[in-house]
Amino acid sequence: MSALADNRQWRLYGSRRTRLIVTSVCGLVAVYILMPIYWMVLAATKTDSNVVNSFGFAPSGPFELFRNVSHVFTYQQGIYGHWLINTVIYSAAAGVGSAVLCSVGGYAFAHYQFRGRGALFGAVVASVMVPATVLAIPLYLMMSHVNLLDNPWGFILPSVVSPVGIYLMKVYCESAVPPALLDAARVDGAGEIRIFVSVVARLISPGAATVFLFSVVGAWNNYFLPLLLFSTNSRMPATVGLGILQYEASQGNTGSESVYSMVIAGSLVLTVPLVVVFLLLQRYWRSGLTMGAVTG
Amino acid sequence: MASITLTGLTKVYRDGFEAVAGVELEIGDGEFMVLVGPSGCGKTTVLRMVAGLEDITDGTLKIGDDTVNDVGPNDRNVAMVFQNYALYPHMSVAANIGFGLKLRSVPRDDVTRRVEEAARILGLTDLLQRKPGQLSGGQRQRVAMGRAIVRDPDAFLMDEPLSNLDAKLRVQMRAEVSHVQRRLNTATLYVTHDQVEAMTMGDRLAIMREGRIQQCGTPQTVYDRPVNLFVASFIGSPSMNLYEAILSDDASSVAIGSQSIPLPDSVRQARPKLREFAGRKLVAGFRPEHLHPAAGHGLPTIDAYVDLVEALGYELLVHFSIDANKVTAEDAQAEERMAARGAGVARFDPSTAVTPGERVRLAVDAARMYFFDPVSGATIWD
Repeated sequence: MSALADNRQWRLYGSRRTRLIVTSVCGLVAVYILMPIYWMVLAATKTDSNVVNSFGFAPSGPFELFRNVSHVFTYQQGIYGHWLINTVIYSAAAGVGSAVLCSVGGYAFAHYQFRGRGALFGAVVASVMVPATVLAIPLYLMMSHVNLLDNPWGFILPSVVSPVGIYLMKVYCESAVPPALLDAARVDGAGEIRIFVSVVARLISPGAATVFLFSVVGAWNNYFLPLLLFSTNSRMPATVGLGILQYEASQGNTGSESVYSMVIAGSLVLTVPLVVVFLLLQRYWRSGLTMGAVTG
Repeated sequence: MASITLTGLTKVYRDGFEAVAGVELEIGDGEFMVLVGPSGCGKTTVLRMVAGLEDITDGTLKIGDDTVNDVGPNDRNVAMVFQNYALYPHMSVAANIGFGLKLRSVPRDDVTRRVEEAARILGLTDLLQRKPGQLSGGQRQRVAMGRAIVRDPDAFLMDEPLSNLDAKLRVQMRAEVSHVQRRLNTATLYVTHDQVEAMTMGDRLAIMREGRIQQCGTPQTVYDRPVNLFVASFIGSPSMNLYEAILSDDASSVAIGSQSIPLPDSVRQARPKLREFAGRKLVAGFRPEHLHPAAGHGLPTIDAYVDLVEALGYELLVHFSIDANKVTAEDAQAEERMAARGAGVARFDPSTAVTPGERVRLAVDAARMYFFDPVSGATIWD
């Protein structure tokens, strides 16, 4: 783009002063969001005493990142690694499960006429408004009835259900899958399952990737539900695990070991895979928005 | 290859709306049948019922000798071409064309051979590896045709397949579709709202209005002998000029506004029923090409005021007005209803000297006039 066109483009967004204000506000918000992350990254490189005693937003003392990270993975016979694997398993299951469930459900709401469709969809939308905390006790009791307390499925199954995801996929299916395409496949000789697998699934995969992402993040960061449902340490995901470590540190149960910096390093380790998954899928996700079915 | 028979085909939606009412139609093996009518007349619903995409409320549908009312679309062995082409965007052209064959477990070599054959017929050979998104409108149209012909179905169903193309391409594709259909000689039901398409492509056409077939016949038959006012005004472009008229007491002349046109004996003999309207109101119509410049024809004339002249090169369309009340079929297009009182169109030879604003005398060939019952709209023949 030439400088002139660039200039003209900018002018569309208002005067220099307006732009300055907008940029400043955005900058402030970015600083606000990034500050804790910056603190965490720095703190993960410090020794335990430096975490407590030094200025949080400047590096200080020896660079101990690798020592801290290796410490977190060796502490208590590598229990953190075990928790991390749990997190990966629970999140992947929740992500894949909800992507599939929401795709199927959203597609049905978008393209099938059936009795009670409106009421059912209304119920799904309404359940978006219910905070997860409110459901915790009923969920606990339900899981205890079906003997799924302290069982991975007890955590995975509720994580798979995502009313927002179903809503999202319904809207996505309506825009990405024209009804004529389904008719064409039917006349071509495809049954309903075949249509979903061969035609629809491909078209809505960008939407499903979004749902997958949301669910993975939701399950990955979930602290409350696993804390409630699991009682055995080895079943815990890393979020709860870090909580346990921190609790032990605060109780002084760890003897002379430096646990604060280790917990922070563990938090950093826990954050990295999410960032990677997000960056990978974001590309896919954005490319999907421009891909629709072909019409004249 | 098979014929398609529709007997009393009816569609009533859950809200009680009757979209299609007792349609009777037989499409012979290899016949090109065009279902034409204004939007909302139920023609697409008929097509979708034949395809199996819409439940049949009442009546029977036969493909060949089999009643297929309760057979799903995937088992009817019909192929459909959609208005928006409905190509699978994630599949290559070859995969799009071959999808139906793959679903029928046709051996892979066979699929390849038949896809290539269809591509050859439609001139798609070089495009087989492309995705639909990389094709032009005309090419997508061809792919949609390819998907239909490759399966060698009992019937083709086409739902306004040319309406998304620009005017020039539409004319070209019109010929191409007709050509492919004749070559494959498969029963075809083609839906369009474009009467030019209907006239040029169909072996026969069925004109629909409000869920009912008004008339079914060859293009020439429906043009020459429309059964009612609706068909008369729908078929033909520009459409037939229709005016309120009064037949004289002895049926020897018809008064259109303040002007009178004598009706020779031959006209009355050809339309014996006309006598019943002696002294009564009726609707008189003449097609634009049956109006001539007055000079030297020896025909009765009417005076008209020229509003506008459109020179098309091969003919002049002379828009005129006379002092009479224009009649339009109820669902004639909106712009027509808004046309000025007494407006009409005549087709003149391009060499005719005629300018807007002048008064002209139009020669009327009474033998080629049409008369309609003003209440029922039925054409007054015998």
